[in-house]
Amino acid sequence: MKIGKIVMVIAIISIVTIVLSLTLDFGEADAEIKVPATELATEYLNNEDSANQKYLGKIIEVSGEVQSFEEGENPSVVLGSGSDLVRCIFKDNSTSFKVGQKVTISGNCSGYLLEVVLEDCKQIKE
Amino acid sequence: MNWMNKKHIFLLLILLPFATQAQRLMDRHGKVKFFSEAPLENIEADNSQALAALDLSNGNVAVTMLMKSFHFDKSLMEEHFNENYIESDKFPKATYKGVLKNFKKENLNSIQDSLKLSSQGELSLHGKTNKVSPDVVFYKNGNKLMAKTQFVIKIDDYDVKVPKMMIQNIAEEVLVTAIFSFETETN
Repeated sequence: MKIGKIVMVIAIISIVTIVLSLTLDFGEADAEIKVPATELATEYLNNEDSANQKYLGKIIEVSGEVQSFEEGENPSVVLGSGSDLVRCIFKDNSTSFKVGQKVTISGNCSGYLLEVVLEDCKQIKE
Repeated sequence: MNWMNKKHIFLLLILLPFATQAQRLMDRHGKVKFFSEAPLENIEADNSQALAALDLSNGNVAVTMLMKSFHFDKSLMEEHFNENYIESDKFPKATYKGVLKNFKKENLNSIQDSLKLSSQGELSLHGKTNKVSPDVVFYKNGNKLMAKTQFVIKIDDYDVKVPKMMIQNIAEEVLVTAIFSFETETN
């Protein structure tokens, strides 16, 4: 009797886990750091080395206003204002943004080259 | 404050094209590729986000790229490249600063087929800087001025260490190819 109950419980737990893993998407890595685009860019402008220690190679979620959008093989969107800019590069070439739109994007930080560069980006739907 | 910022951007947007057109050509999406042929496997990686600037007044060239923007077919290779060999956390950028010899702005405008110029400069990679002198070939592609260069670097010159057991996998010499595309108004 007891063994039967234990087997039942284990069976139910495994079924629930399988169903959950199928319905929930565990494939996408959560952003390690969430920061406004302008703040991220300011940190890089103030001290590139210390910003790199904090952000380089990490998945970062930035939010900000779209300054420009470039279509192409690897479309990229620039967020921020003034000289505080973050360039988010997408692999999916069907990506599209409008200037002035407020968006949240997560991507992998590659460093600073004219702008902070995030690669492998995904738009976060709110 | 916000209004001031906007005004500045506006001014910048108006002035920038004049400034860049007259003096400097820039490419934000330069393509840099490296290729190495080792006994066990070929290693190839692409970076399509290199930044290149050419000063038309004196032929000065500057190229900068982020090491983490190099992408490999195999993600494991990319990981090893970043973590074990190029140490991109410590040395996130590679740069080339140099000058084109016998550079004349007029010669670029009158390219028929192609124009080959030699350059002389310094390549910084993995915290080491060496003198290099790559040739650059300029040619037209529609309204665009293209610049292509190809040269070989020895990884030992840049202090990239390969463990003995990996010697069959990693070549000592790497072929670097770079192509830049500059927008030109005048044809």
